[in-house]
Amino acid sequence: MDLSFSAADERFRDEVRTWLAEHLVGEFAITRGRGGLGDMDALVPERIAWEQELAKGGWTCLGWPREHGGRGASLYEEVIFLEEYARAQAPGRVGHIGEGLLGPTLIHHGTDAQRARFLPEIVAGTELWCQGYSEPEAGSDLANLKTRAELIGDRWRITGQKVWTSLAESSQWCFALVRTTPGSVRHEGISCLLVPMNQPGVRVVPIRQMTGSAEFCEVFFDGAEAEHVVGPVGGGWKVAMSTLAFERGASTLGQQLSFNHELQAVLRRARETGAASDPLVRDRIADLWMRLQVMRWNALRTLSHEGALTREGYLSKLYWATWHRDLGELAMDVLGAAAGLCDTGDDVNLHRLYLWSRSDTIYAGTNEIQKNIIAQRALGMPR
Amino acid sequence: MHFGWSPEQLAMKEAAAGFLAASPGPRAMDACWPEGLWARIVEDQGWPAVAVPEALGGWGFGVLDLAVVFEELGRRLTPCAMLSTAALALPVLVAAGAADAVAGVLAGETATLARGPVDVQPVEGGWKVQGTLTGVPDGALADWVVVVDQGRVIVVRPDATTARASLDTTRPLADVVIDQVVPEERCFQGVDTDRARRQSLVLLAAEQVGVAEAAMDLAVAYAKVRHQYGKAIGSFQAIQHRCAEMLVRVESARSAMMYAAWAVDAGRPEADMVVATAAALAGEAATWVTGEAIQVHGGIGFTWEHDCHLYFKRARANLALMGAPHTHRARVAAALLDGGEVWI
Repeated sequence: MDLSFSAADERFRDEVRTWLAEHLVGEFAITRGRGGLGDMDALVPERIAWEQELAKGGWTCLGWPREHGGRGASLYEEVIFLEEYARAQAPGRVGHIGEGLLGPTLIHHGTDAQRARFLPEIVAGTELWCQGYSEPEAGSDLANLKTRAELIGDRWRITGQKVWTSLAESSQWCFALVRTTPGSVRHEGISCLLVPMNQPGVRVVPIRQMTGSAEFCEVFFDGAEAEHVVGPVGGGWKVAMSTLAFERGASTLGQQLSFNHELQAVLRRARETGAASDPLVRDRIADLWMRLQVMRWNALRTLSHEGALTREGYLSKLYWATWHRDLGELAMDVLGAAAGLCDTGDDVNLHRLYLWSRSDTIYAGTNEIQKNIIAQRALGMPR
Repeated sequence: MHFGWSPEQLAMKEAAAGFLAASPGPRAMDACWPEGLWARIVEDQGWPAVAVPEALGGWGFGVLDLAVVFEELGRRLTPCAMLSTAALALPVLVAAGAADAVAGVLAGETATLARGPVDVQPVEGGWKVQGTLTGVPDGALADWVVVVDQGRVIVVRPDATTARASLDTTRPLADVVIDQVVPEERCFQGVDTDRARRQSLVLLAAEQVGVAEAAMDLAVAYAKVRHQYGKAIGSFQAIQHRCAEMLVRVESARSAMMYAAWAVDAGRPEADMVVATAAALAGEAATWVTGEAIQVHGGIGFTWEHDCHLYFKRARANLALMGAPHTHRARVAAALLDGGEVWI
């Protein structure tokens, strides 16, 4: 067990910390602590400007190979960057889909022409991407998707609808899974299309969530056109699944810092309201603190396997989503009789946490799906 | 940065697993430890010496190194003196600087730990010690009983012992009667037993991780072969979700135990908090998982013949030694709420 990072990594950490301290100021100061989960529709123009500021500093697409505009950063460096980013309370990234999903997909499955066309803009933060996967009839069961496209000449004509697309209103491109083989079912006959958002055949309608905010949208395709397919036509399912595997769990260490901020806010409030003297509240606070440490330790264990998905790596999403939900509930119990008031100072953050956390256990794989995956892949139980 | 067992620790774990697989199991316990097992542990494996400082004749390693052995002991429920001697008694003997007692243990004697109070009066040549200590693990079997009464540590051979009916028959409890004059050299005053307490908790947590994991493995294996309604019950979502939750508990407890062991060995300032974390999580993991393992097994899990109850009982008996999880959480809550922000 050696929990120190190398001297080179610590120098890197200093570099990140210094840069953020020097740049998250002035016009960008307003974005501090904003744009995260439950707040993703906040200050979008300012956060786009921040994305470009990061790009100028060479901080976007760190983990990408150098020949594609990245820094070839190691997993440790990526983790350190995310930790310091969270520590500085730098805003939620508007470029995260391009950097984390589309970019790696193009690097692994795209053509040279596609990489040349799209990667530089992602690195520069000048083009934003949204992800078109889920549909009203295809949530957990993504293979049930119905949006289809037919080839007319050298263009695909798309008809259908996507849902839960974040940042759709600000994105120039959509990375969409559509059914291109007529009559195909389930995983067969699906292709990954790159769809320009700014065209007549694309209509974006925001979805208002129970939080009151509208971070997600419906995207209607009615004769929308696309010319780029990533990977083989009809082979999109495999491409999409490999994309999901690119998220190596590096981000969770930064997330824990954010979670710790939230936990500390709940502790402060508990002291103020007197809930902190209730033994059952104290028990829950300690339990949440303990589980937050475990979140970190599980992530360090996974990191130590160079990001390979280990048994404890399967638990990550289920664990943090459940934790966040439990924190939200504790926050409301701490407010007690005042939990019904949403306008009391900083309590707006606690209410946002409480309401938003009901989606943490749903998006990116529901808790139930996570448990299925854990049982079947980590424990080898029969499907 | 490496959060995980070292190659040496993994080798030790594998060796322990192999040795214990070839050794008598929990049903070989018949009011007494299996013949010759302790001698083989001391001579062939050397486990009691692992975490004892070199100055006292040990290997000078830490509880992190011994933790791998305790995981395997928990997996196998091997009936032996390891917990009493190496996890409970030795850390206190080391803290007291009881060189002779430690040497005796490393040479093959067994020992256990009992908490006072006992009556201690100074007399000619030593101390007159009187008291009855109830429910001492391996109390009727161990060569020595190490009594801790606040800052005092007394090393005695019991005057009388009464075996008690024990929930966990693999680690029988006994009442120990002490009524003797203990020589000066076996009485130690002003001993700081905090570190020893943390070491014991970490090793108990490690054993609990092994207990929980073995129970989970039994449940998963059973669910794969037990067929009802024409299918393996392991294909039913309720069973899958139960087992997935078991894995969450096991791996979380393991992460906590590993960090706590490292923190204790490194003398980290957060050691107290993370040991409490490991104790709470490993304790609850073991009791919950072993209980749910019975549930997954259905009726057969409830039988004496099946091993489920052995894990269930060991988990509970260990929890009784470790202290209830809520007491550990209360400790952490006090540090967080009354002592200011704590972040590692």
